[in-house]
Amino acid sequence: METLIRFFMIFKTFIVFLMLEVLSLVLVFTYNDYQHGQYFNSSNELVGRMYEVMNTVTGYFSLNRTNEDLARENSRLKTQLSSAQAMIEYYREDSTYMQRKALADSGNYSFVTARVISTSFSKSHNYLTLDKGSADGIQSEMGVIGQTGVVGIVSAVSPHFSIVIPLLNISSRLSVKVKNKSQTGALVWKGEDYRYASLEEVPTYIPVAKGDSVVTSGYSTIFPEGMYVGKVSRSGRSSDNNLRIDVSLGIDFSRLAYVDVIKFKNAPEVKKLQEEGTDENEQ
Amino acid sequence: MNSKIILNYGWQFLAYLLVQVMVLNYIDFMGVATPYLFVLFLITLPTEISTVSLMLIAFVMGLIVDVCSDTVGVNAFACVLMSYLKPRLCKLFAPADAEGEAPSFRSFGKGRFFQFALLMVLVHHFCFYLLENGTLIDLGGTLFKAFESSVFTMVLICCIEYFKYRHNR
Repeated sequence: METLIRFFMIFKTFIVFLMLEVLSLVLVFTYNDYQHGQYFNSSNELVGRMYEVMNTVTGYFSLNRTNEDLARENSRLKTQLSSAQAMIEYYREDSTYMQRKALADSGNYSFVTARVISTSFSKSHNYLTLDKGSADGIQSEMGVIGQTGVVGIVSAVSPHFSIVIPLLNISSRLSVKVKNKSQTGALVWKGEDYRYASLEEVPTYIPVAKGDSVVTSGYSTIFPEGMYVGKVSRSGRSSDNNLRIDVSLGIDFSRLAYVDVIKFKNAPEVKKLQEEGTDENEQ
Repeated sequence: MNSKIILNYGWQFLAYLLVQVMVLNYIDFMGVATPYLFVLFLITLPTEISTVSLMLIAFVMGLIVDVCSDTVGVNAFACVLMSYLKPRLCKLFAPADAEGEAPSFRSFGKGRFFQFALLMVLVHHFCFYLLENGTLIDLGGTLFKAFESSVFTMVLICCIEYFKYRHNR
């Protein structure tokens, strides 16, 4: 026994060394073994806690990147959400939807849906930019309508973009009429409130009441007859023999997302005929 | 050794561990090199400490680093081996008047300490990477990683030791 103890004393360093190395190897191999690796890995309660604490510290090192990732995901989700919302509104409160469907069914008109990529409504010469252009068949002088009413008229096109002069442009002039009345007038905007436009050239003898619908007259190839523009919000006499009518616009220009460009199939033919007619008059 | 010195080493132990598991473990320089600076604590423990105590300290320290980096047993093995060899290497490199002192630039001399530390680091890193890989597949890649990490660790060790050297002078 004494010899054994002396043996241990002499070789104690080496024995401790061997024991520790064997213990390490046992740990290495039991850890690699899926069945037994439950005590000394990060799924262990104690180490899990430690990681949690560590993460509160190390988390700061990657905060910037995490922030960036989150911001990117946020913007992606926001884009998705807004387009989903736009689509929902498109089908829910779409007062022009049935009209458009009827027009499209008649075969004379077709529609190009475009996204509004830039807009302004606070200047006096406002313009919209759409993400579709001549490559999608859009040409200048085409009508543009939104979910809840007329938007404006295309003024210029490039292959993939087009510029629209909306109703909210002091040089815009749209031929309209009060629904169920034959008298037409001109819808103009004076550059004041983006929610209202003025209806001019309606004689005082026409009975126009608050709440009457204002629709396109159809006296051009741009808009078919009867497209919803807005509602009469105020009607009264002006100094001349015409009424002063304020029209509450159907379209909210402050939150335009998707619009439809109206393609009138026979527009070139009508235009040609009109030109021929004026030519003959001149001769 | 009085209690003040032991307390001082206790703080160092914690500091090296914290820096290792919270910062250095996350460095993956060019995809191959991670510095294992905590071995410097074991390297610079005074030579008067018995080899058994040294190995026990090394085992505990290695195991803590292991548990935090999911390499259980690997660092412990490498650290115990390194500590077992430490007294023998000390005999080789330590000058006669540095008996029982903590290895450093000052006690060993710059060149001797560098060689001593380099050997210790190489033992630890090659042992660690070979055992961590566990196979002889891509042996060249494993050895390259061990070498790269050794260089990285040595650079850090030299910086710290040089700073200590200037500070204590």
